Amino acid sequence: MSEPSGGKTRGALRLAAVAAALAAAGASWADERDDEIAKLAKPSSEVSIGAGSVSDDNTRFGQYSGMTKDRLYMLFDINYRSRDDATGSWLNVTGRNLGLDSRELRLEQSRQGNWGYYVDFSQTPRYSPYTALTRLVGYDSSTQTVNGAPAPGTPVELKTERKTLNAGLNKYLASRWEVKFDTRYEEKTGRRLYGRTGTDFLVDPIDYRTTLYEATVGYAGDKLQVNGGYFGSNFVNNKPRLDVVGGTGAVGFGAPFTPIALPPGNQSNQFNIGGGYSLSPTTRATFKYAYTHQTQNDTFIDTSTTGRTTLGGVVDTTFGQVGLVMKPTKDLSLLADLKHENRDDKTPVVDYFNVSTTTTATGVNEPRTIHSTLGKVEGTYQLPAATRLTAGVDYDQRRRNTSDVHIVSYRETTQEWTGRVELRRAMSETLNGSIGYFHSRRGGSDWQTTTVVGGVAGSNLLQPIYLADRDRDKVRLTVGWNATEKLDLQGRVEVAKDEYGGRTLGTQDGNAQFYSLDAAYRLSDNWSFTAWLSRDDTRANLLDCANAATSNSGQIGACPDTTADPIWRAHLRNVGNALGVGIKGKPHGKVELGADFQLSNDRAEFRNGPTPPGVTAVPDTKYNRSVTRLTGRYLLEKNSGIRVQYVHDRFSTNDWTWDTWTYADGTRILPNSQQTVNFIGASYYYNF
Amino acid sequence: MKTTTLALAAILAALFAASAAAQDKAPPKDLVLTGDARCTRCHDENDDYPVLAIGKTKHGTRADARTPTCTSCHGQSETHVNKPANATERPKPDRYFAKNSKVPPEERNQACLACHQGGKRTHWQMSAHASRDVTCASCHTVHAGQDPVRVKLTQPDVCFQCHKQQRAEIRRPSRHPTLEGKVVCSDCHNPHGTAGEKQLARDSVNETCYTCHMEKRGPFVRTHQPVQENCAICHNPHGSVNDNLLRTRAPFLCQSCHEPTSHRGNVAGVTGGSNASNSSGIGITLARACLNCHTNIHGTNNPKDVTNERTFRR
Repeated sequence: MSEPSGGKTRGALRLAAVAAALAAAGASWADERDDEIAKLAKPSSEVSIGAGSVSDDNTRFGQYSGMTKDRLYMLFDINYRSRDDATGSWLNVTGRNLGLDSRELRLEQSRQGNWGYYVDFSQTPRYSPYTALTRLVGYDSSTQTVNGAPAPGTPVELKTERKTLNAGLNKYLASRWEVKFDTRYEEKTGRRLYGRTGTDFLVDPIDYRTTLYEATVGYAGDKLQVNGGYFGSNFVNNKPRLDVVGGTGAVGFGAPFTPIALPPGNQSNQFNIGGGYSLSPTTRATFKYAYTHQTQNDTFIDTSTTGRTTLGGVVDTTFGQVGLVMKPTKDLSLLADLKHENRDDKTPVVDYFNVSTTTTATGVNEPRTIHSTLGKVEGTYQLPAATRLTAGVDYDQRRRNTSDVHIVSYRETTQEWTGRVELRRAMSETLNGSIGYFHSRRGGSDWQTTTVVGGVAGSNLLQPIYLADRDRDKVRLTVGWNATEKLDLQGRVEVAKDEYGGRTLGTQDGNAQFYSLDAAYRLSDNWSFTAWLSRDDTRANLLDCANAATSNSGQIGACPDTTADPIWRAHLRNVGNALGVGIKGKPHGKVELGADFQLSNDRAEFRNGPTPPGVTAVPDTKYNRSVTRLTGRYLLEKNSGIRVQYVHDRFSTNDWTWDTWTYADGTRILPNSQQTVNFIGASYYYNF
Repeated sequence: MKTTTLALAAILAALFAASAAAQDKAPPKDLVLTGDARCTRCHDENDDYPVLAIGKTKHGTRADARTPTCTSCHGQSETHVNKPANATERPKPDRYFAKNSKVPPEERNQACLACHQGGKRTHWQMSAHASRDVTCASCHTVHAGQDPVRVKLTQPDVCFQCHKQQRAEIRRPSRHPTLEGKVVCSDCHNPHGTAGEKQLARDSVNETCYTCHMEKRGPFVRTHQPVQENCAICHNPHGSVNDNLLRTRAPFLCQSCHEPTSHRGNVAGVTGGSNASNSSGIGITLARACLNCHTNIHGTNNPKDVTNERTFRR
C-alpha cells in the first residue's frame, strides 16, 4: 500500500521533529540537570494549613499544646528558608503551632560569616491535670476570699502560661572574633494549686517577669579559643504577697496566716571567661572562671520586728574549672578535670523571729553557703580488636555552713569517690558495645549533734538521704548489633545497688535495674519498622519511727515503738514499663503512611507499715498512657499535598491523692483520672 | 524524499549522540560545593548516601569563604576516588562517618573541630560524650536539609537513641514539655561539653534550673538547705509519676531527711487522722501531703513568725 504524498510529507516532518527534539534535548539536558540539582541543593520552604478536631475536654492530651477543649483547632505551620547565593544572606521564618496556644514564631536574618539577628516568640501553656471545684473568690488576684462564692462553687481551671520573647544578634569582627548579644523576656502568668495551714484551698496567682541578658565576645583561633562575657538576670514577681480573707487559717490555728509571702524578686550579674588551648594536636587544656553577684532586696510583705524592710540578700558565687586531655602515646589517652564553686551567702544574719528560747530555732535567718569541688582523672587505652579500656576516678566534695541550731541531722562535708572501669568496642561493623563497673563510696565529716536552743541535744536518729554514707555499685552493659544489613539491634542493662549508713533511721538501702531493647528493621526500600521497650525498677527501703522524743541523742529507744507510734518501714518502689512500635513507608509514589503506638505503664509502691490503728497503709498507684498515631501524606502535585493525622490518646490512673480529700473550706479537687481523646487533623501543604 | 529524510534524521541523531558523548567526556563540574566534582561525579541523590542536600545548609553557602568542600571533611580519599587495580572492593574514604566507621572517633571529630572548636564546643574534649567515643555524626546529620537534632521537635528522639532511661521517664505523668518540642534536652544540657557538671548549660544544676524557675532562687528569710544545694535532690527533671517531678511522693520524700520528732515520723495512710491534722493518716498523705501546711517549701521571705509559720508555712 502506497502512502499518499501528503502522508509522506507528514512522515518526513515527524521524523524531522523527532530529530529536532533530540537535538533540543541534547542542548537542554544540562540545563534540566542543573535545575534539578539546584532544587535538591537550595534551601526550600513549606507552608501548611489545616484544621484538627479534639473529641473531648481533657487536661492530659493537650497539657502543653493547649488542645484541651472539645473543638476545632487551626493547624498552621510555616518554614520559610531563603538564601541569596551571591552574598550568602539568609532569611528564615519559622512558625510552628501558629493556630494553637503553644505557638512559636521565629525570624532570623543573617549574612553568613558576617552578621545575624533573630527575634523569637514562644508561648507555652501548662494545664494542671486537676480541676478545682471551689467557692474561693479572687483566685487570680492577690486578695482571695475563702468561701466567698455560693455553694457548691465553680470549676476553676488550673493553668499557667509562659510567653517568651527572645532576641539576639551576632557580628564577626574579623574572621576569628565574634560578638553576640542575646536576651530573653518571659511573662509567666496563671494559677497554681496552693493552700495554707488549716487546709484552706488557695490559688498561687502567678505573675512573674524574668529577663535574661547575655553578651559574649569569642575568639576562635587554630589553637586558642576564648569566650568571655556577661550574663545577667532580673526576676520580678508582680504579686509578691497573698492576702486571705476568711477561712479556717484565720481562726483555727492561733495565727492569721495572712498575708502569705510569695516568691520575692531577685537579680544577678555574672562575668565569665572560658576557653581552651591546644598545646599540640593531641594535648588540650580548658578553663573557665565565673563570678556572680546576686541580690534579693524585695520589700517585705509584712512588718519585721527588726525594723528591716528587706532581707538584703547577697550571694556571691565564684566558679573555676581547669582541665587537661592528652594522648602521650598512640594508644593511651589521659584526662584530668577539676571544678570548684564557692557559693557564699553573704546575707546579713538578723534575729527576725525572736522566738522563745525553748523552741527548736533561734529566730535568725540561715544563709546557705555551699562550696563544691568536683574532679576526675581518666585514662583510656586502645586494645586490639577495636576495643578500648577506660578507667577513672571521680571525686565530689560538698561543704556547707552550719547554723547554731538545727533539727535535721547534718554534716558539714560530704565526699564521694567513684572508681570506674569500662571496656568498650566502638568501631566494629557488626557488633559494638560496652561493659562497665562503677563503685562509689560517700562519706563525710562527723555528724553534728542536732540541738535545740540552749545546747540541749536534739534528735540525732536519721541520715538525710543526700548526706548519708552511701556505697553504690553499678554495672552497665550496652550492645549494638547490626545483625544483618536490614536489622539493627540495641540492648542496654544497668543494675545498681545502694547501701546507706551513718545513723539509725532513714533510707537504708536501694537498688535499681534498667533494661531496654531497640530494633530497627528495613523491610524494603520503601518500608521501615522500629520497636523499643524498656523496663526500670527502682527501690528504696525507708526506716522511720513515729513521734520520737525530742531530745533523744540518737537513741532508737527514744522511739515509742508502740501500736500507736510504731517503728515503721516503707518499701518504696517504682516500676516503669514503656514500649513503642512504629512503621512507616511509601506504598505508592504519591502516598506516605506511618503508624506509631506508644505505651507507658508505671506503678508506684509504698508498702508502709505497721500502721497505727485506724490508719490504712498507702496503696499502690498505677498510671497508664497509650498513644496511637496514624499519619498519612498524599502528594497532589509535585510540590503540594495533603497530610492527615489521627491520634488516639488514653490515660488512666488509680491515684488516690485527691479522691477522698475535701479542703476545710469545702473545695474538692477533681483528679480527671480517666481520659480518652481522639484527634483528627488534616492540612494542606505547599513546598516552594 | 524518504531517503533524504532518513539521512537527515541520521545526521541529527549522530549529532545528538556526539553531543552527549562530548558532555560525558567533559570534566565533571562542581554541583554544590567548590571542588565537589571529585565526589559528585559518582555521589548524588540517587546514591546510597545522598549528598546534595548539604547545599540547603550553611555548609552549602559558597558565598561564605569558610564553607568546606567534601574533602575538607572526608579527606582526599585517593584510593576511594581511584580504586587501585588490585583492590577487590573500593576502599572507604579517608574519613567516613557512618556509625560503624573504622576511623577513630577522635579523627572523625577533628574534621568538625577544625572549624567548630570555638563557642559552645570549647570544652568538647573534656566532655563525657567525647570520652565515650560519641562523634559529631552520632547526633548530627550533616547532609540533610534540616539536621533533626537542631530542630526542637525532633531533637529528643536523637538523644533518646542512647539515653533510653530518659526516653521512658519523659513519658511519665509529670514531665517537662519535651515531647512537644518546647523544653528540649539542649535547653538544659550542652552536649558539646561544659565547664560545669552533667554537661549542663550553666555551671551548676541550680543555676540551670533558675533560668526558667527564677522564683526558686531567693535567698529567703527562711531557706530550705537542700533547695539551695541542688534541685535534683528532690526533683527528677526527666519525669516522674509524682506531681511536680518529685522523686518520691511526700511524706516519704520529706521523711528521707527529717528527724522523726513531733509529727515528722508519723505514718502515712489513706485513712485515719483528719485533713487538718498532722498526726498519722490522711493529713500528711492526701492532697499535697506535708505541703498542705508547709506550702512555701522552696523558702519564704516572710519576716513574721506568729505561730511557727517560719517553717515555710507563710
